[in-house]
Amino acid sequence: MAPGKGGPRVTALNRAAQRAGIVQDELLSNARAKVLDLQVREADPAADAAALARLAVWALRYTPTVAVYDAGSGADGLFLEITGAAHLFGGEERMLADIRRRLTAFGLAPRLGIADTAGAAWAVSHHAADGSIVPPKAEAEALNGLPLAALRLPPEALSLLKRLGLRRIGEIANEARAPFAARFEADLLLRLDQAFARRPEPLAAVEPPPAYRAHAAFAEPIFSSEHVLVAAERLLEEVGGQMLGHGTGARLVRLLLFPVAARQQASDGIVSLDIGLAAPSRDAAHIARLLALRLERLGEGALETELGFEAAALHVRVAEPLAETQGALRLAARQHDPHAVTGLVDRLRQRLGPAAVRALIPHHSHLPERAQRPVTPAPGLAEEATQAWGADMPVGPRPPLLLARPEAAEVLALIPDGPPRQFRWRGVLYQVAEAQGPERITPEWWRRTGEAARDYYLVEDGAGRRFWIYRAGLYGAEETPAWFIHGVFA
Amino acid sequence: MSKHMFSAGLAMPLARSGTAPAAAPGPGDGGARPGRAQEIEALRAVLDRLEARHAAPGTDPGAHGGADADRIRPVLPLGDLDAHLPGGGLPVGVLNEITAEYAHRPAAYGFTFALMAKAQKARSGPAILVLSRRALCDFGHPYGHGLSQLGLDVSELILVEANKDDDALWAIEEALRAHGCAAIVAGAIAGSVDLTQARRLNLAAQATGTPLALLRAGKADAGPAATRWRITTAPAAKDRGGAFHRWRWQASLERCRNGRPGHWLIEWDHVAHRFHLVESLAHRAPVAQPGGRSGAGAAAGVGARAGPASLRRTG
Repeated sequence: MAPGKGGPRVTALNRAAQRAGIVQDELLSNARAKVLDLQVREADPAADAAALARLAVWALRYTPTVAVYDAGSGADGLFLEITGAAHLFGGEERMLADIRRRLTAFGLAPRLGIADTAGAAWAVSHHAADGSIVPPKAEAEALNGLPLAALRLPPEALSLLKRLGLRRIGEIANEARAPFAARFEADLLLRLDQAFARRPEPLAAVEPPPAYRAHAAFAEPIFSSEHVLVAAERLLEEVGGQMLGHGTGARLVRLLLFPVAARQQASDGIVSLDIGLAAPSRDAAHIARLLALRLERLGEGALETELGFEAAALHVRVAEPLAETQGALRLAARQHDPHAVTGLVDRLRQRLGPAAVRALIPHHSHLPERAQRPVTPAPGLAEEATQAWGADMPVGPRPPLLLARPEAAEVLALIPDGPPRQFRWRGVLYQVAEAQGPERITPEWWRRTGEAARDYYLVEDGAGRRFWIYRAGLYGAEETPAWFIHGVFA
Repeated sequence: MSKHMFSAGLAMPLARSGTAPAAAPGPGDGGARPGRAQEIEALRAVLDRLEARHAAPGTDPGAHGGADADRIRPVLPLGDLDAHLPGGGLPVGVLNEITAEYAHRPAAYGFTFALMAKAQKARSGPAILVLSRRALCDFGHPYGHGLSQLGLDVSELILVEANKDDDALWAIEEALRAHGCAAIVAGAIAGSVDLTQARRLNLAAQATGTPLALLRAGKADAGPAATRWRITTAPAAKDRGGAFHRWRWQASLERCRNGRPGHWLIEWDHVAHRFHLVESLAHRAPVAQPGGRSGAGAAAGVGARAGPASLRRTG
């Protein structure tokens, strides 16, 4: 129940309450009068929405385009765009039966309907016999007999129509539109048009539909990662064929695994694995190998399921043009095969994590620690980076190994603003034999971090150990300047 | 004399006449020395062939071609060091180990980076550097501007960071097997490699003929590495104005399959991409007559033994 007009009202009720004669939106006091031992719970719209969202993810097993009802549709159900998906389940009747069986197993009481438009499907599922299937282009026959409430109209419009003596959809569907347009908000005609496919109804899908997809249901539940990989490779070959026709390749692939649902767990346990690729590919074996590496990295727990997986879906989320001849041309231009490199980068990323594989590009900054940026290696990057590394090189010496952050060193300098004579770093005392510098590096003035200028020296001890050391701050300030080791030279 | 030999048409005297002029400027070798050197060379070739067959028993014999194809093993030329290395360079398609004491690890990194720069010049494809996080944590991260100053083409560098040594070794193997796309695969791990891991790396490197350098800590053990280098620091070369000019390291070749160990003070020329042996040592050791491979091979041993002693005096 939830607070409403005139006091708390019934928002949802179970079958026992229905049998007792309680109806939706009734005042709670009336309901209490009908049933003395009525059990009441506070409505929790947030939890309802969350549960519905979970159910929407579960419904992705049927089709990639699933939308949760918006507030105008009641926010208590799902639209599934099943164009091109029903045949995978043996036709619309069998698909509907399958959905019903599973939802019932979750302890839900579904009302289902299929029609050409979302509006018509909503109407038949709510107001026609449960499980109605409207044949293509037959909305008129199916809807004309239904009450006007089936058009998802706001309550004010409904009560006004009622006062006018209009009860059935057919009574307004075949009338002249002008009087309705004058009397009612745009909603009425919009909903009517949407139901009769005269105007499109955009659905806010829980996730954008993938570029390509393939689906497989297994006769027997599968458990092991080997079986999952075999199934995935088959699906990859299927989408690979689709992509070949369009001359595209996948950049982001998602594999969804649907477990045999244990009771009362609607959408739990769905495994979703995203595989990102450094360059577009439609090579099923390559992507399957990436998947294998990902599963290896995730370990045993990744495919934990009690009863096994009964279905799998493969979505190509992002596809990019991939010309068949590209490889050959690039191969001729350069000595090595770029596909081999991107394939390697993909495999390493899957096993070691996306941040593990990096290329370096220079970054325009005065501060040494900001003067390079790690990026994900990608084809074509090398050419850009070549120019960039060639363009602005620092004048002074730079160490090949830079410490993660400068580390403080105790320094003895002979003259105040001269190079260090000896210094202690990490507990070891070094005598400086040779020093070169200083190179003054000042932080960019626009950063305003209050950081002092740095005087860098390259110092070498008697044994040939070389360090990059700097003094923070200019001499002459009150405090004694601090020294830091920032890198080691080879 | 050579006319006679040609008319005889014998392979053996022909070969000897070929080496004799090269060996002649050497320090007074008798007639017996080149023959012996040749014998050793021939035996090494046999050994090479046997090893190659043993290492890759499953491969198609046609891929090996004949005995000649077996003999010529690809190497990565390194400059002045080549005279001391069997085949005239760093062996390719096998494991080359680089070790260093903790304090000398930056120098070992430098040597590894120099090898990578060298490989980038000699071969196509990116250089791949695999680092295990523990190996890195003490001396920071590779820094593009510094690597660039060492002669590395940073735009053709792929860095791979792994959390554990095992992951790093896996990544190295994977990189080696990737259709030979890499110019060189270099790795740095915090621990050591066991015999099985080393064999796996060897096989992976051999499959594609990719240069492989592994910087590792741990004890020196008799693994199946083709070469093992121990790097220590050395004061850099200064130019006339007293500024740092080129980096130097002490490199001891502790293990060298088919070759002799040695110890040199080397200088990395980041512009020409080659190693120089530092003159003060090179002129003392009776080594490295350029050209005569078999002659140099025998002489290198003498030079190598003289090397460490003189080094200790300078250092």
